[in-house]
Amino acid sequence: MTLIRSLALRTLNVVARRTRPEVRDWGLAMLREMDFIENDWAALFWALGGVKFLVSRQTGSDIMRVQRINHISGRVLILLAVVALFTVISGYFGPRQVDEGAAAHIFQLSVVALLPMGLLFLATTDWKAPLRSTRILAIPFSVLVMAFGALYYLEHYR
Amino acid sequence: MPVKIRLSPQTVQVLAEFLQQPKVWKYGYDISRNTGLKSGTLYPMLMRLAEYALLETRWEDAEPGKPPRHMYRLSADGLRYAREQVVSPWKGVRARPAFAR
Repeated sequence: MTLIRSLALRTLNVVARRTRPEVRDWGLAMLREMDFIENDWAALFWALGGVKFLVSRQTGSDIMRVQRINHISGRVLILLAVVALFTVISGYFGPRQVDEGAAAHIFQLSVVALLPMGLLFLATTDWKAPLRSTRILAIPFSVLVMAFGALYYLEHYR
Repeated sequence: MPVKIRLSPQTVQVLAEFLQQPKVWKYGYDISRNTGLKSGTLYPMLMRLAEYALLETRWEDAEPGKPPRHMYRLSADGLRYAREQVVSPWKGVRARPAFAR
């Protein structure tokens, strides 16, 4: 199973199992259909559509919980991007390493973790107010661009 | 009881899809593929149709070790409603049963 499909399955699975009982069957139904979607990207979009549907069926207290998850995932996204940037910056100050060091692994892990966290953030976003989410996403995106820029410079010109 | 369901073009599309083979149980992904509707659009519609008892749902008898699939088909009321609402491709008007007043 590819990373994209695995992420899509896990995301929909988590949301479907935590939703209200009267909606849960529909979530599980969508989850089961994913086994018959051949294309990974189509499976991802199917899962995101499913998450959107399940989230939209939540009640008041559920909505508050979803907003909280969105808030936290947004902050974690920023944190991961900043960690990625700092690990690259740390490479400028230490001696040049032949093999990958701990910083390189931290960088890789934080970049990989950005994907599920980004999916969680998008899945719990209130799309009635897209500007807020776009603003939050712009921060980790910019930091990540800086991190990759710094990494490129570090590897090619230093 | 009069049906108070919002009849969007997508709902008509789904009803038309069910009318192709009214007796056959259909899977969600197949309906999505045939109508071009995304899961986030299709499933709220299926759920609403089921809430109004226009759609029957059941879990497929799965093979051992495999989770079952959810299946759908129109109920008798749903079939009547779909025939009333779906636009006839020949007349360009909503097809109505021959005996409707």
